Amino acid sequence: MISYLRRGLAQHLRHSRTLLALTVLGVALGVASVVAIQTLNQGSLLAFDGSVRAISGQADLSVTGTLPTLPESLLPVVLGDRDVAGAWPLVRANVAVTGRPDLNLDIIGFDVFAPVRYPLQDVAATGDDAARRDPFASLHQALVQPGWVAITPELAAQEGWRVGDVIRASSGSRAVDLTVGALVDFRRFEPLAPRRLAVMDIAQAQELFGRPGRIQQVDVVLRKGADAADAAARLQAALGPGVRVQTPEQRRQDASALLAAFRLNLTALSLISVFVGVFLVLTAVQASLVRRRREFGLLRSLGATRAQVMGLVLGEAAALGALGVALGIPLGWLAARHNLQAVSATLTSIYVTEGIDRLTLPAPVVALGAAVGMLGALAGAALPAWDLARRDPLRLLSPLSVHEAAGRAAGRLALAAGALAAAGSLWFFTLGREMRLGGFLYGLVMMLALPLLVPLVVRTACGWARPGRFGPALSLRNLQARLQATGFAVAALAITVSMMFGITILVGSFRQTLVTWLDVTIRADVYISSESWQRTGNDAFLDPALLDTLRAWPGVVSLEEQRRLRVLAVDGRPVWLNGLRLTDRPLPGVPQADLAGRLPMMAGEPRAAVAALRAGSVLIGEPLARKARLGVGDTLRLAGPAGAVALPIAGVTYDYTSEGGTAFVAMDVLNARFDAAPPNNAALFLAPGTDVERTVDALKNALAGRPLVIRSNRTLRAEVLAVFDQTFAVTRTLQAMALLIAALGVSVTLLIQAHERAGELALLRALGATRRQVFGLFLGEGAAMGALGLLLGLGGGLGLAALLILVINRTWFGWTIRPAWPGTALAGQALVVLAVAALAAVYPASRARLARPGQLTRDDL
Amino acid sequence: MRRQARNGMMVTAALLAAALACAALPGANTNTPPAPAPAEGWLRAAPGYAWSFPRDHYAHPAHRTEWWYLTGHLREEGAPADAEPVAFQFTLFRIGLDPLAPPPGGSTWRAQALVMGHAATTDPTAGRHVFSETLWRAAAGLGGFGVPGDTTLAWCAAPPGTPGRWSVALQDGAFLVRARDDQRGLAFDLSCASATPPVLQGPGGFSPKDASGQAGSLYYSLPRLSVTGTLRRGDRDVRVTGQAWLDREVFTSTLGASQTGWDWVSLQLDDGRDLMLYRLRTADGRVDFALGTLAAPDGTSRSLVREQWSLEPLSQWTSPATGAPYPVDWRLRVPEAAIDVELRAILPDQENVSTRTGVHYWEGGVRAVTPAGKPGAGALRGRGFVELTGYGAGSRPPV
Repeated sequence: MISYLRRGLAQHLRHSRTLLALTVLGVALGVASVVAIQTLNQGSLLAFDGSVRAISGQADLSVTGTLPTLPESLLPVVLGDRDVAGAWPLVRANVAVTGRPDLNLDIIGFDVFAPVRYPLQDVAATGDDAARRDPFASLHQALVQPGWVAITPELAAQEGWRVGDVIRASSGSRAVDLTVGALVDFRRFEPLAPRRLAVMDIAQAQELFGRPGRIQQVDVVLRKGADAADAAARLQAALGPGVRVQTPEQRRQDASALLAAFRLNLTALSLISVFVGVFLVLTAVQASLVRRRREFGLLRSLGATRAQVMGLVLGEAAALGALGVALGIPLGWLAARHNLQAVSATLTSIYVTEGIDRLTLPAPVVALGAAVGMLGALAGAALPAWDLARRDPLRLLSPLSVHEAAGRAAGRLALAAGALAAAGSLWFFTLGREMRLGGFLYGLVMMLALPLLVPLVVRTACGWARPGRFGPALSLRNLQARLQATGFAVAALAITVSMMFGITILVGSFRQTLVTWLDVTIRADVYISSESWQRTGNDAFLDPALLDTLRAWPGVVSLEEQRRLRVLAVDGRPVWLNGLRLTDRPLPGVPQADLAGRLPMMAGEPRAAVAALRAGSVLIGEPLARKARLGVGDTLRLAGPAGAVALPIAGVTYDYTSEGGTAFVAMDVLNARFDAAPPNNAALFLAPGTDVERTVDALKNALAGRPLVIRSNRTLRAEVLAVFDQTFAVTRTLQAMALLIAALGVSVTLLIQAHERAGELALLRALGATRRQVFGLFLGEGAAMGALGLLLGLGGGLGLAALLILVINRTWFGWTIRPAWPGTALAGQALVVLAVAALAAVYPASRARLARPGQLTRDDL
Repeated sequence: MRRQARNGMMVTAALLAAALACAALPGANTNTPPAPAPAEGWLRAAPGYAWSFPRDHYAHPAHRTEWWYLTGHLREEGAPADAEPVAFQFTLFRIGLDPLAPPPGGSTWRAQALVMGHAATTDPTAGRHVFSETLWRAAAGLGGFGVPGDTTLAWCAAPPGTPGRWSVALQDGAFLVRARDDQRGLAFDLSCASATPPVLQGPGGFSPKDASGQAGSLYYSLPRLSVTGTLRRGDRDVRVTGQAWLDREVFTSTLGASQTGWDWVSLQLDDGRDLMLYRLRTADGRVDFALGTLAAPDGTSRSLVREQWSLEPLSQWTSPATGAPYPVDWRLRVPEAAIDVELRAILPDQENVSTRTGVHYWEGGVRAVTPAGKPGAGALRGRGFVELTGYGAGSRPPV
């Protein structure tokens, strides 16, 4: 039987190259989507891990602040603990490299005399003559040469930088010339160390990029035999509530928890395409079996057992699955790399400071991809194989029995769909809604129910077709006649369309909601921030002298300072705390400067909220309110430098800046109770009649060479929306992949029919049908499948959109999205689906038109 | 990983070497990396220095390197007269990094110097030598130096695992020294008072280190300090009294190109005289330069040139930790001063191994006794300290 399988498959390969190629491609696309998403998922966590291991790999504990910085005066306290064998401070800054829009350096300022051993390379190895003569002079330079920095060999190679080259970098409004003084090869510690790491002496790092007396971290080595948990608890008690003392593993877990939502979203998206992918495999295998049923009937008649036939079918499916896996894994890897930048940008703007700058293909991801591909192929083959095996050999030898069976089962399948949907709904609305994954599971159940409806819908839709002559009605009737084969393709298409429409409605509604929100909140004329803020969201500042210049600029009537500080709630939840500068009196002629008019209140009244802010209350964003279950009248407890800071909540605002938590307090409260520092951003209100774009141009000219980002209201909005679109770029890739898979389904189905219906087509040709008419018949069948898929998908899409907007989005992100109907986009996609389905039919149709009357046999009459 | 760690260690040590870099020329026969040329701007120690006390007890930031070096012998109060005292060493080094003072308003981490501390005790009764060290920037609350008028002369944070500071201070004419390392069980808190003025070592307090007379240090000692205070023995702090010797050296460069180390002896004789001798060795063991000073009980002193004294090794001890062979017992003769004694180490293992700098040296208490074969052989004639540097591979002091 094995040798039959081998020979059979080889023959099958020769005769049906296109069909098999499409099947393999289908599996490959499904596998690729899983691999791509999971690789990016792993990448996000590995980036954090790699960074932590490279920088703090030698430490047993790390002391970080609940605020981004710590007073360095804590160091002697840490050093004094009885179990501490060594401790060193780190100043960290994420700085922008001028002229390189995608490049940041993650600066680590460390004490070159501390017992931490960073793998600074003997620069003599770089071939520099001066360095060869005197290899250690340059290390002494770390202390005395302004801007001395050691970069990774990979970055040096990537950028073509050599020892002695000058790099212009910026943090906030401050630009600094760094000189490459040495190389630091973190890969010797950690293969996944980010290439953006750069090392300099702590004094220089603090002067150039930090704040006097403030550090970001203290890394601690314990003496041999010390209990890390004990030491951590003791240090925590000694250092007070403003700090966190954690093992590297705890920090990893924190990051992992932070990234969980992000990773789950991606996984959920990839599951949808796997779902579609499995469907395609099912379609392809089913189609292939339908074509070869006579062969199996013959085998059974000749004495092959049911198990042997089943083994044969499953063996073939496994072989196809393996080919698909072999193709899908590299494809997924390429897709992951293609989307790296977009995903990394989302990560750093929302979750953690560590962007992904390299990807690896971890063995578990390869295993997962392989498992999905193989199981998908086997699952796709299992049902038809069982069906074939259990059937009477005689029936297998007669052509249309399978389709008739499907036709008879249509009603029962629809009933099953109804039952499944009802059970799913009952579960979701009673229990599932409380579960975090409930929405996803509910969506999955509904997506499973959808294909069960397909036979009934196809039968009903095609039932009224009365083919009197060649035309669309005949195409429809053909679909109905071969329900089992076409049903799978239509179902795959329906699911894809559901996903496409669901996500399009979600994204469209979200975008519309965002635009409305921007209209309310973005009201100043000119916005000023820094390159480093723009790229990394770090807490770099604008120089107070710069603010004075801006205030005095012609036409400026008001400058609003803005500051965002990452703090922790008492429960460990990260919160972006925004400081708002409250003006005392309204500005005549500039009503938009009035804060009360710019607060998109969800709960609470704007005027009262502003008064409460002034009195020390806080406004919280909707995601925080939902996730922490807080509302007006409750208290927000944040970790301040000297213990918990309790702030009464005066209002809840719609907020789409972060899915984490956002809160707003008066700038004075931020400075006094958390951390006093200059602002990160500034917004300018101009006198009525001032030309905004001209003012922006003049500011850009005057401040040329400063690492600032100066934008008009209009540009800022456009950029916010561009970031939004970038965030959803991955979704579009997945949509396209799923559509491609579904189109392949249509192609495969029709191609098989072209083979299978050779006799029928010959008869049609003999009766006078032209090749053109046969071509049209197949094209019509493709278009009809597209239309039916669209019809079902529209219903599924609406349901999915409702689920995404009203349930999943609120649970996972905490945003209110006002449903909108992106009609143009949906209509466009509908046309694309129809066109793709028709296009997918072109090749099978061109094969079918080759049917000759001479192929007619007695059987066909 | 282990190899990486070692490489990292080398970098740390090399960096320190670079910072310490005083001797401009590469050591021809050593494993020490070639040190960079001395940074511009440091003042060189030179003859004719105008000494002034207490000003010169404080730091000399214009010179690259200096140290406050205390050694002595302490006896527990109430202990029997024949009980062996505990030897102690306490040194704070100032290691200049940058002759320019940090700019105002800059980072608190910007430092002009490092402060390195070495502390050791040797308890011959317990047969135990304990060494502890610190190395910090003289900045950011981790270390610093006083200026005339301050009580503190020099200080630094205690080693990790121990709260508080190590310090040497000057109060009411007495030197207060304080060191503690809880993880190693070392602690002392001593007040050291001198009845005599400082003894200037070398002509006018300029101690030459080679025959040219150009390289050298500014050097003075307080050879006989009366000590009272507390010392940790086992798990308790006990009251102690004893005698100590303070050395102060200030320099920018000392070791000559071919010099690899030195032997140094301080001796407090029972007859009230105090003797200091040093000799600089080359890689082949030859003595390149030597000098000494003999101080009378009243504090008056005279130099002893190389021909006036001899120092012969009697026995050698090889360190299991570093493999370095140290001559730990000696025969010392100063014929014209009627000094002929054997210096017997109170414990062979008094080696200090610095993991922070990669340097190791022998710094140990010795008993001066009447040599064997002479009448009254073995009788105690005084107590002192011997310092042996540059023994074993790669141990050339980075100065």
